[in-house]
Amino acid sequence: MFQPARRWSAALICLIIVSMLAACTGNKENGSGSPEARATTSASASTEPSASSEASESDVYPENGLPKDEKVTLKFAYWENGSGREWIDYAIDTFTKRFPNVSFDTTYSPKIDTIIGTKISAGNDEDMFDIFSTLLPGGGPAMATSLAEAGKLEPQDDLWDHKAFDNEGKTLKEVQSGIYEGRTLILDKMYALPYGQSVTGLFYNKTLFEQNGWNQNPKTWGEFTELVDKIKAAGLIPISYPGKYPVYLGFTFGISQMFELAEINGNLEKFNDDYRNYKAPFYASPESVSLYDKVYELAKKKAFPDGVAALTHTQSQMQLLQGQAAMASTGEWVQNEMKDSIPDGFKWGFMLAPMGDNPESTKYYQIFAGGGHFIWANKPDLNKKWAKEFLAWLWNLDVQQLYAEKAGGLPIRSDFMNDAALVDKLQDAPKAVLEYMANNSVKGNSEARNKSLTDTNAEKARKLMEESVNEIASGKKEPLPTLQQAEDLLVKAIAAQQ
Amino acid sequence: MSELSNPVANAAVPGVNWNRKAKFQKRLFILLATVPMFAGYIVFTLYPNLLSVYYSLLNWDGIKEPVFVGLDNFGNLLKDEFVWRALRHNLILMGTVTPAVILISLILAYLIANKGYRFSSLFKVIFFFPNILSTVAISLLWAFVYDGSFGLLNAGLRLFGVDIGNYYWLGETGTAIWAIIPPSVWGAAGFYFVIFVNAMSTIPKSLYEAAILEGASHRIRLFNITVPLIMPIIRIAVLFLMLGVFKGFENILILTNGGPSGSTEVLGLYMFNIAFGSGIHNYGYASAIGMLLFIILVAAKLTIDRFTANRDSEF
Repeated sequence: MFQPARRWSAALICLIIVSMLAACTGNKENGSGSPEARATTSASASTEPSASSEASESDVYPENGLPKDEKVTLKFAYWENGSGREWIDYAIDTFTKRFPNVSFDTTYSPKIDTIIGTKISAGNDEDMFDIFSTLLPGGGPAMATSLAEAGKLEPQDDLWDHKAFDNEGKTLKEVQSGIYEGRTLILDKMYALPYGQSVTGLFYNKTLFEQNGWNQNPKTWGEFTELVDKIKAAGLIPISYPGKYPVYLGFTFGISQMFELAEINGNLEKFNDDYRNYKAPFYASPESVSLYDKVYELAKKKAFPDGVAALTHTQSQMQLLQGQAAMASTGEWVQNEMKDSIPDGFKWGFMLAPMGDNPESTKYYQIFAGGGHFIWANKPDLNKKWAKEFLAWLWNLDVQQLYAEKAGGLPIRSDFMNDAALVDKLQDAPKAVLEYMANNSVKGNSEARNKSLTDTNAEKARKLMEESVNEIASGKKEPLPTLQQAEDLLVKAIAAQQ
Repeated sequence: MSELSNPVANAAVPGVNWNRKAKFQKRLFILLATVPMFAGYIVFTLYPNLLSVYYSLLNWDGIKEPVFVGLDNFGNLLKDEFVWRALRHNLILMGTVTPAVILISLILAYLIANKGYRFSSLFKVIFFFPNILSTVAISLLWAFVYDGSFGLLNAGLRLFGVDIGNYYWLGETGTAIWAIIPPSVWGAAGFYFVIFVNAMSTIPKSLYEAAILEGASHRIRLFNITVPLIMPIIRIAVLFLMLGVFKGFENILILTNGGPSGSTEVLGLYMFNIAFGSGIHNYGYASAIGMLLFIILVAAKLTIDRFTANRDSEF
């Protein structure tokens, strides 16, 4: 009599297990587990460093007043890209040696944006990373703006006043090498303290240029087009870029160049306000039209490769390394990324495409939000404090040195940049960038905006322009009609949002 | 009093107990066998799909609070020229890849099943081999075939005296969409070839012998005997191919990323980019496009049923 009951029980248990699994997928954690417990127990020590006055001095670290006895695990999402991971592993290793109560649960991936995006969408604060790469799904600033607007990101402006760990008395702002002005702001706040500079523009082989007597530092648009003509006459592709990802052309002919044109036109302040706050005109603004006209002018000169739309970034950069193309539109990471394919005798050079006719005008370059990490706002206070400590730790000279040597990046400390011995440790491509900056008046610019447009017409306008870039660069399409069409869509999107 | 209405009496009868026990065990086995899979289907397939219907009524970027917009997303969809352009590309691929795969698989399967080649087993392995490769591997392979500078295709054409220089087949709007077809066919034909070979092996040889005696050629035997007899399997193959072509976009994502200039963008890729691309994410609008895809696929299934019903034969 009991046997059927047992078997039905077994069946019911199976059903219950499956139901529990189903319920778990909809479970919304509100930090009610251990993170809150950690926050509760550590609140008295973390929220106000002076609140730990009752504890003895040996219970807190002298650098930051944070408790030694509270174990914290920081979930960290690191974008494994051309920079590699050796330098970040060193930073984690040295940080945890200095602060043994802090440990890291690090996820490395070249597709970290997909992982981050999934966790953001899951809406589980406990499962979300504490610190994560600024490479978000889509790669552009749109998602970061949305996250900032929703209060999901922790502001990091206070880190500029953080004392450097290895330069007592000086704050990070005092040791920065000029990146403060070009830092990425969203809604007037900084959400990712840069750990390095990423500069994009045209990279070339100095050896090739020297052999042919080509101008390595054109100061005006006229000089630049003259250079393009000479390269074309020599049978090479003047400028290569991966058309499969049209954003790469924007590294040389992008938003920053529009700012440069606005400055030339005496319109910088208005253009900056219009751009940051999504005000029309943008696509049909004089600056945008002028920029795309310049691209079209180069297209008519056959400055870009045939079939450019099919090129991946590897193929495009290989065209440069193999001497098929004279210049490639990319970033300073290119040397580290392609290190196994660089032929002997290849010397890295860098230039920006000047937009104006005045040799002395300021050349603008793109600063990327990729140099930095976000902190998730809805985490326990102690976690966020330690996260900020770690981000400040990345400014240590030994970490910066490894970042320069192994990752091929550009450091951001003035005491690094002013030390010839340390500068010598930079890889050649970043050195070429510094050389250009030393010989020209340059200014970094971020492409971040202060708000986001959620109307579908804004996305259609962006998509229309992205799809048209290759056709404009191939000389198959004149820019103005497409720009006007995109502008009409943008105006509709702005009106819908108001 | 009937045998079954007196439980006390029945308990004393072994035959009745065993019968009941057997029935109970059968039901329990069915339950244990089906519940996990069914539960998995509900949790991982049905529930997300129903949720997607709900999302299609929202304006939601996955970060801020969703806003209910009713049928606005569907209204925008109807006016969105990118949707109709993507649908055109889907129809081009469906109209070329599906018949090409079916025809090639049928012919190869017929030859292997009926010609009795010495190395039939080896041919089966060779033809099936592309199917074991992942979509990524197939796409990367064909990306190199189509490369302008070092690609196999341009090199092969030069062997035959056709020199088109460094032509990038995936980089030109006129050829990119057509260049998607060969890797799609190459990757899919092997699977259906194996299915058709097995189906053809069940057809009695006597039918072919009779046809040969009547003077029927291979073509007549294939289309008048083989195809009608395996029509149910062909119908299923066509259905699966159409569904796959409409839904799939992984190969396009890797080969062209929807370019050049959107000339290879399909509905699935457009939907993917709206949900996860470089602009503002709009899960609501992406879900609405997903609903459109669902309607199209249901319509395709009904169309196939309508035009291929009563076409099969039995032996």
